[in-house]
Amino acid sequence: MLTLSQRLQPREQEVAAKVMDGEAIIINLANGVYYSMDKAGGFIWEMIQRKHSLEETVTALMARYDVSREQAQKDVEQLVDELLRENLISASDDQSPVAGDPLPDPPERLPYELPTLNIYQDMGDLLALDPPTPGLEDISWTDPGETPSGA
Amino acid sequence: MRLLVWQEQFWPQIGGIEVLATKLFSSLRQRGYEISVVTRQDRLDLPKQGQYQGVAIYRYPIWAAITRRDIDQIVEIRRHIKELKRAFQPDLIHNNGLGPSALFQLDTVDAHVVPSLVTLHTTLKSVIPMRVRQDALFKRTLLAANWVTCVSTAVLDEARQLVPEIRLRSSVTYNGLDFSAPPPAPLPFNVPRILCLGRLIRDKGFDLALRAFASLADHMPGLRLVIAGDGPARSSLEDLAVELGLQDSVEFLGWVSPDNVPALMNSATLVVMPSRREGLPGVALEAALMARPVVATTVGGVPEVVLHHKTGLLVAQDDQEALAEAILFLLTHPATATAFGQAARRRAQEVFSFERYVDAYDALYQRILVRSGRSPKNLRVNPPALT
Repeated sequence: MLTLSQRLQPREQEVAAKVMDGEAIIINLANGVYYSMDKAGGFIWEMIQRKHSLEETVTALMARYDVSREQAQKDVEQLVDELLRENLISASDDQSPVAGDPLPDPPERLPYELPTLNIYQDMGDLLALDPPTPGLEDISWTDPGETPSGA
Repeated sequence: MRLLVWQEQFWPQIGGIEVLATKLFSSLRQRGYEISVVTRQDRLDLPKQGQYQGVAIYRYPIWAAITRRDIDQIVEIRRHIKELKRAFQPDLIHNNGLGPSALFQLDTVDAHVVPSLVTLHTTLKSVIPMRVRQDALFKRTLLAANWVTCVSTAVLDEARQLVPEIRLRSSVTYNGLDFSAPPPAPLPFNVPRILCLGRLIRDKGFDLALRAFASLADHMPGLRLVIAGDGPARSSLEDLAVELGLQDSVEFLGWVSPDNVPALMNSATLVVMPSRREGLPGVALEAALMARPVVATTVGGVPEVVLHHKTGLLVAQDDQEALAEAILFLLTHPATATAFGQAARRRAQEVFSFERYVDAYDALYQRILVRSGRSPKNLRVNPPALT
């Protein structure tokens, strides 16, 4: 059972992740499942990447977004549960967060939305539907009178 | 109207959807549309940007990025697509087909929020579980769309079963045929040729065509089977032809330019489509255009194009014997085969005209904008030319 003092971290061997403009993109390298989170979700992921405790994450979330402590704690715990179920994070033994500049706070607290983990499970199925087609390099295809460009 | 189209593959890739899309977009441009296409850069020799008939093309290595699970490339593609959306400022986004590229449309939707349309071109039962998870890209894309249109009633029925929430915002839009092709030639019964045309993948069922042909070849020594197209199943099909002793009577043409398909059709006595999965079969439409009778399986939208005993013959999926019988019947009943082909052409002119097809999409785009609270009068009438 997680406590608020628990520190977490991404499972670095199994997961590739990047945060860009506050959006977290995550890939499970074992099964190819793709995830994304933005806004509050992206922020929580950044806190996890820095090995902050749940308590530190809740506090930082309240400083950044217009959200009550009760709501922030409930949503952080729910999201963390989901990330654990998806095998994207694990408990960290570190006693303090990763050293580095703190995440900058906006001048005013931002409107809050429920952090959501977008999961895309069927990439393999969709890839199988329309694989690349070989051998087209020498096929010409023009309408009469048209000169194609960009080929 | 500025239209941003998501399409798994586009010019110069050859396929039914790709060829039809270029014709649709060309016609829409004549009606004042400004169109950009986001597509996969499956061939690295193709440039990242180009254009065809005034349509701007943006290619991204989506297949490679997803299959290699390359997070850096995925993030880079997302960044570029967000920039494209912000720069192009589309009035509407059209997912023309649904594949892995849709991930990049759905995940960048906040970059420029506009209504979206999804066109489904094929049935999916063989690849998508009937109980679709909430977190499936397929379902999420359909749920996020303002409207879903399908190329046949079969595809629509299945889509509504998989995602019932789209019931009231979905429809059928039949593909169209360009009737500017050369006129059909008489069916050649003196040198009978069976034609299979399409991507060489298991779903097209050309292995069944080979097996059915093998049972006929001994009885009709001059009969030939032509398989036009390419794909991952080619070598296994060629091996099967050898295994069945057909190497002298079966010809593998490889890819055929869309410009040459009418002439190819004119050389055929009949067209065989033993497909295991189809949305609205473009090859059957091409065959109808050239007054060729079709022997096909009753899958997906095939029965909406091929009318049994009127424009062709239908057999059950994977029924090799019935396939061979149907082919033999048409080859030995030239008057019936000719009548079927001519009826197919007449019906195609009524039901699958190209003008009707362009009108349908033009009206659908406008309707989606109105339903989403955007009035066409607010749109730029004379969009700036692409530079």
